[in-house]
Amino acid sequence: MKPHRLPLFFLISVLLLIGFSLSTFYVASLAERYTLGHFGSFYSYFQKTLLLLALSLTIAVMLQFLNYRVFRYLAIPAYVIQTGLLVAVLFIGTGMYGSRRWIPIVGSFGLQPSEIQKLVIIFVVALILTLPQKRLNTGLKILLVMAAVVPSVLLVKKEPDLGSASLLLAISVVMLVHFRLTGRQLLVLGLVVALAAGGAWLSLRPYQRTRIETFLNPQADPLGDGYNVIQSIVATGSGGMWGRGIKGSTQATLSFVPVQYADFVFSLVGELFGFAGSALLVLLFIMLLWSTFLVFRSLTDDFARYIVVGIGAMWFLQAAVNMGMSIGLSPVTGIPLPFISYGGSSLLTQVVAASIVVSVYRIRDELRF
Amino acid sequence: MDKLQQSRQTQRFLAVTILFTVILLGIMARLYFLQVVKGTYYAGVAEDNRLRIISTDAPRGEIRDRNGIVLATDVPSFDIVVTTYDLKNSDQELGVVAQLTGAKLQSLKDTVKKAGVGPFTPITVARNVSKSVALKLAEQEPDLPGIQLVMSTKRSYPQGTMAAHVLGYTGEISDIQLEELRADGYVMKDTIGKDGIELQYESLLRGQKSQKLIEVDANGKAVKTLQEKPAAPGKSIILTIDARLQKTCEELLGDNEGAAIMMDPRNGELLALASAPTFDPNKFISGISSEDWKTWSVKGSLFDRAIAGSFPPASTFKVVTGTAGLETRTITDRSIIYCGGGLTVGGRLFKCWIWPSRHGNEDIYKAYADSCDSYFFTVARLTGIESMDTYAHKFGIDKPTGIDLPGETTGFVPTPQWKLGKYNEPWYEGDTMNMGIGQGYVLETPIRNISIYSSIAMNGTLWRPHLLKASVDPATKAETQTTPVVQDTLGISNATLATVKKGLNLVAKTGGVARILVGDIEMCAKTGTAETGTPNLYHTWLVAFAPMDNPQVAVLLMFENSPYERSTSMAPLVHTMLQQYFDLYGGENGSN
Repeated sequence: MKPHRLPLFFLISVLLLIGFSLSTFYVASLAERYTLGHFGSFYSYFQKTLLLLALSLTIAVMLQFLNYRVFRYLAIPAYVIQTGLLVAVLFIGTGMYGSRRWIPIVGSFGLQPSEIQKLVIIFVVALILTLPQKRLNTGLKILLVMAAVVPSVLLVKKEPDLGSASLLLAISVVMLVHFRLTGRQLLVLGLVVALAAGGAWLSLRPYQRTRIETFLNPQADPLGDGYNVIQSIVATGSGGMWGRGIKGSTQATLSFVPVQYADFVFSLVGELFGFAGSALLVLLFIMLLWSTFLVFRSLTDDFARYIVVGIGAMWFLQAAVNMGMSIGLSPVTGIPLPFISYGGSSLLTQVVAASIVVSVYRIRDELRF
Repeated sequence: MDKLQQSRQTQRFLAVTILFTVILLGIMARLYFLQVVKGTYYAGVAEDNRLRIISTDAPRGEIRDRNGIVLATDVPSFDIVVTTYDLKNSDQELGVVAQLTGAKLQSLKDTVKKAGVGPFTPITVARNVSKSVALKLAEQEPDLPGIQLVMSTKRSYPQGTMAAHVLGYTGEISDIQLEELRADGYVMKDTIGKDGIELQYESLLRGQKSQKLIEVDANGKAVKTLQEKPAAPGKSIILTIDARLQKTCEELLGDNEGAAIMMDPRNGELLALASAPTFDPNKFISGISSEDWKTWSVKGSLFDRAIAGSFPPASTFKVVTGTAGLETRTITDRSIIYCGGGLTVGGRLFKCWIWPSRHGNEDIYKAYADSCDSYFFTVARLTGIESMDTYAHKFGIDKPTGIDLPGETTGFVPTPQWKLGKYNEPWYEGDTMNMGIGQGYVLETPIRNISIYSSIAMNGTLWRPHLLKASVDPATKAETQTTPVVQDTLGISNATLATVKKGLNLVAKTGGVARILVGDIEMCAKTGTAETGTPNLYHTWLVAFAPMDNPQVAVLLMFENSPYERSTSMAPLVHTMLQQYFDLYGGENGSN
């Protein structure tokens, strides 16, 4: 047994991403001070991120004392509680522009149940897929996965948070792809997903349709959503090769780009650090992806393998959709960039996810009899 | 899972990881294109990123009476706006604004700071500045980067105090409202309805602001408009109010405290809804002097007595007592009760108003005509508090009428349990008797009182009292008419209502307490004189509807702390109201 070996490559990827986030906010706050003459909102995001990071890392370290297999038993209760919170947020939640996404806790801090639900869904799907095959055959397992995932998707869509709802669905689909399905079964699954997407389009709210249409043609609505995307592209592009640095960054500090601390954080990176910084960030995500694959390859416990697939899918999908949105490659959604975007629930979820990957790696050998 | 399965799974994850990597490399390629290939271009765009979205207010919808007389409209005015990005030396430029407008520099700075918008969004710092200030600012504007004088509009009520409580007024959006309504596109300093119709129908009256995407030069002045979404004015509102009747009602109220209402019982349209003393809503727009404010506070001028004041209904309540007695078969229309000027119950003398004289033998018709208290004391006592309460509830005394105005309150129906809880005293028979003549604890709002008489006029159907007759789309001129709504049906037999009406008819006739003759029109009326606790000071009521068999109009006149000692003295005033109605709208068989 070698329980204390750490997945170093993986840990370094995560720590570099967190460091990248802190540097971005700190440099942004310096740029803000330079332009406005005083520290502004970016500095407060920097401070709050430090605080949230301390909290998240504490929880992450504590999780190392827990055998991840207890999640087999915690998955169902967590699912029940989380579903309750997703219902509650529809009534007591707060958010911008009439949406209800956060449950207020203290001051400006709130809990975003849809963030945490991503982990819970990963556990529940992993649990269902690893139930003894004798008791439940392949078809029934797939149906059960759908039955577990669809209510959450609908609840999150109702907030309305179409981005996170689609994300929950996409993570489950990627996990199913790794189930014992033949090529033909995969094809059928693909068709079902395509049909569901068609149905979903019809049930979208007007502003949600506008966003997707705007994505297809940003010039169509230059006063609304298209304006945001255009400003984000301008900010990113203006960074050039090496970035505009503290003295030259005006797009971020003068609030041209909306929610640049969260949804559009990638355009902040682009403006401050240029192609060098943006490309480095993309490389860090590629590194995270491959190090996750390496952890996966060394695992023998099926439950653990599915969890790692789910977490890897979550990171990649969020990163691709968020960065794509900032540069006009994917529709505008409220999906945060993992480890980078400002947001308590998001940071906590991502750090806990990383901690679980470390955990399953550390005790993988115990499973060999 | 077996080894084979797991290795297949690993292959799949490897494939997925490779696919994901390719996608991320695609993002990197796009970044290379944006930042390295087109980097110089975007840096240039960012350098003079001078695209601004400018929005200007849309005209608010007009409020007109049913005949098109304008009661509220927008007139041109000047606002001062600040674009913080363009300010060179904010203390100096804002200082000039402060000096011209008489505002404090610090408060201007606070407004700018609290606006919560980007540096390119103009912030309104002063509304409705006077012409002289506007002219002076216009002269200096070229030397004041970041400060602009813009044409705007302000609310005006051309009829002055007329229907002030109905119209309400507009004002600057409060911080609390702004928090709630930001999502609807409200921003600081926006105008919003604060009371009355202005508040009730804010969503109809409010227009959609114009939006312009403009490009500005280095000094912040617009060079060209790239895209424009024109302003859409708000919808106009046509009220059910007839300004001529409203004016009469207000003149009759004069300087007294009170309410006057005229309503079409056939559909609930309010032809006049007046409360006195009143106020001039224009003063809310231009700024209220502390002197005005003091006067209004002392006199309760802003208080809408017609819908928010509750008063003892006095003898107007006798329709409820009579109905309760007849419906519970405690009495019939042939029951005779003797009035000896009062009656003694529990060792206490309950005086009829005629005491020390007396009415003698009374049936219900004569009792209404004389407004005999002894009769209704007895009916209430025999009917009992439980049934009295049941019928008071049926008439909706403790429910709002549902009128489309903010701030409606309800009257009050006392019960033995309530009295025990409140005063720790049992309910006495005397309490029931007092309630029988509308005194003691029972309270009604004027709008409820006229609604009760309207529902009697309409054989038990109460149409919801309302003020919105139609809204008019500014572009198409298409009118959306309000569909009248039945608010309540009394569930009282027609025979009972016919008996009550016959009694009320006698009130208005020669020999009744309130003689009101308008041509040969048969009408129903009821007076009420409520004690106030102060000797020789009364609240007086007179309610009527006409014509009796084919009702067209219900009227109510009520004085709080009345100039009259007897409500019967109000008969000539109510006569004036009815006479004018029939002059304008025709008699029993006349056309509308």
